[in-house]
Parts: sequence; structure tokens; C-alpha cells
Amino acid sequence: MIRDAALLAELAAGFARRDPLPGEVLRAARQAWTPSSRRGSDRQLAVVRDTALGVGPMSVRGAGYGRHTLDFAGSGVLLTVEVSREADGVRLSGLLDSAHLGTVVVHWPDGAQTLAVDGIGGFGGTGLPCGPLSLAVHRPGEPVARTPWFLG
Amino acid sequence: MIFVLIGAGELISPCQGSTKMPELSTTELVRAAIADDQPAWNALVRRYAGVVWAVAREHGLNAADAADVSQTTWLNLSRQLAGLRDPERLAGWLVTTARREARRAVLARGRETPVEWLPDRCSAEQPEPERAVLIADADSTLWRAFAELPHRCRQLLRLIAEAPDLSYAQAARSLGIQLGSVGPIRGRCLAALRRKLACAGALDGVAR
Repeated sequence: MIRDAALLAELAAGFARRDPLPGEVLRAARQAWTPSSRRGSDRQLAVVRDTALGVGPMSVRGAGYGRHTLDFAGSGVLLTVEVSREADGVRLSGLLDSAHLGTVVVHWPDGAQTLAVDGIGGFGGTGLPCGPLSLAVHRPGEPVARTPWFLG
Repeated sequence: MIFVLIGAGELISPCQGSTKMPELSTTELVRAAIADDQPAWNALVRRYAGVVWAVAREHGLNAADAADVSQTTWLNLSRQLAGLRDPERLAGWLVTTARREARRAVLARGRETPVEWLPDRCSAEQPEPERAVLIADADSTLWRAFAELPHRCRQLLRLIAEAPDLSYAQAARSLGIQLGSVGPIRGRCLAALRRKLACAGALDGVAR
């Protein structure tokens, strides 16, 4: 009988021919590298609710297709973000709950945009690129608090 | 490269003539990458990019969405590398993270679309014509058999084929199945694949 390992190796070789990993995907993965000098002392916010994944309490109406809500927490910050895709790109609308309101910067792999935060912590942006996004909360005298990367 | 060898002994070893380099463990590569060794990061990418891609594609995502899932997964790893509790379980971490992002992408699209088992771009290296014919024949037999397997079988077999160091516990978490079911399902799926290949006469001459 053919050994399991040989059969699985043959399957792996077949996948590589049938559904090859695109070169640009490999390049993007290599470029995702962040040297320690750029990691700094930023704080990582944790995902405490994600309606796309059923993590945490779900809203009554649910997020609906194409739209989901994420809650992040940590370092004295609560951040709620609704993410949706529109014809001109990704729309973000969020609420920052923190003792000291600062600014929110949305990052994508090769760019960033500062989002204005109003007096009650509301912020938003439209026409953002589809793909990985991450939010950074900048507050006076506090380390930057960053969300994990999530798909916009 | 078993199936491409039927009746073509000269192709038996695709690695003939290559020099086997000593391989660092995943833990060693992670530690080196944390210490700012970018080649170590690149080696991790080479080792696991395939399985991240496979997870995204197995969720029915097209190439563009699968690319987004892949990039998001690697960006998160880069940021969280130093905090990994058990670097040797990196494959499981990557699979779990890619699966989460793939589910988000599926939601964003509103529906899952079946993956077409066809390359959507040309590989940079094309095999010479005679070899290409052998590969195509072997692939079509293998893929017909593979495509006839139940969806759960295809998911599990692709995962363990692309990431042989994935533990049963990691595979179970990744696919949302009971830990005790992984071994039996794996065995049944491989047996079913063998039967289909045997029916097609494709096991003749295969290394046993």
C-alpha cells in the first residue's frame, strides 16, 4: 500500500501546480516583516467582539453581509469600529472611549490616514483601500495603542 | 512526485543533483526573526506561505481575496512574533489566523464561491513539453479522485499535505472538528483517495 506520507506529498505537489502561490503573495508576506526598531513600545489592543466571527455578544440585527463590527480593548482604550465595503472602497465608522481622546490613524500596508475624532470620540473614513487595515490610537503622554490587522 | 513518474523513470527524483541544506527548526527561525534576522523571516514565509494560501482558498475565496487574507495573516504574525508562546506551533497559529481572516472575507463577499482547481496565472517556470504532458495526465487522475472526495476530506487532506508538521490538535481547531475525529477522518479520507486512484489504475508503479 502506498504510504500516507508519499500520497500527501504527491497531493502537496499537485496543489503547487494546480493552485500555485502567486509571486506577489509571497512578496507581500516577505514585506510584512517588521524589524524591532519599528515595533517600538506600542500596545496591542485585543479583539473582544467580532460580529463576523461570532466572538462576543452579537447585536440583535446582526452585522449583515458585507458589514461587521469589531470591538477592541486594552491600555485604557475601548474602540468600536463598523467596517463595510462600498463601491468606492472601505468605510469605517467608530467610537473611541478613552479618558483622553486623541487621534486615530488608519494604516494599510503602504499608507496611512489620520481620522478626525469628534468631541464624543466618534471618527470615520471612507474610500479606504480594501485589504488589511489597522487602527492606531494616539493619546498625549500614552503609548500608541494599535489594533491587530483586520480585513477591510 | 509519484504520479508523474509512471513510465518515466528518468523523472523519478525531482531533487536529483540538489544539495540538501540543513534546516533550522521553526523555533530557531522564529527566535532569529525576533532578533531582526530578515532571512529567517523569509524562511518562515517560504515554509508556511503555502498553507496560509491553502486555508484561504479552501474557504472558496478568489485569488485577490485570498491574497488579502494571506497578507493580513503575515502582518499580524510580524507584529505578534515576539509574543508567541510556543513557536514550534507556529503552523497552527497561522492556520487559525488565516481561517479567521478568511471567514471575515467570506462575510464581506456575502457568499462562498467554489474554488476552480485551475491555476489563475502562469507559473514562472514552465516544464518542458514531454514532462508537462506527464504532469497533466497524472494531475488529472489525481484531481478527479481528489475532487470526488467529500468537502471535509478535501479540507483536511489539503491542510495536512501543505503543513505536515501541523498537530492533530491544531488541525482540529483549524477545521472546527473534534480532536478525536482527526485521525479517523484522515484515515478514511486517504483510504477513499487510494480506492479512487486504484480504480483509475493510477497506483500502478507508485512507490509503496
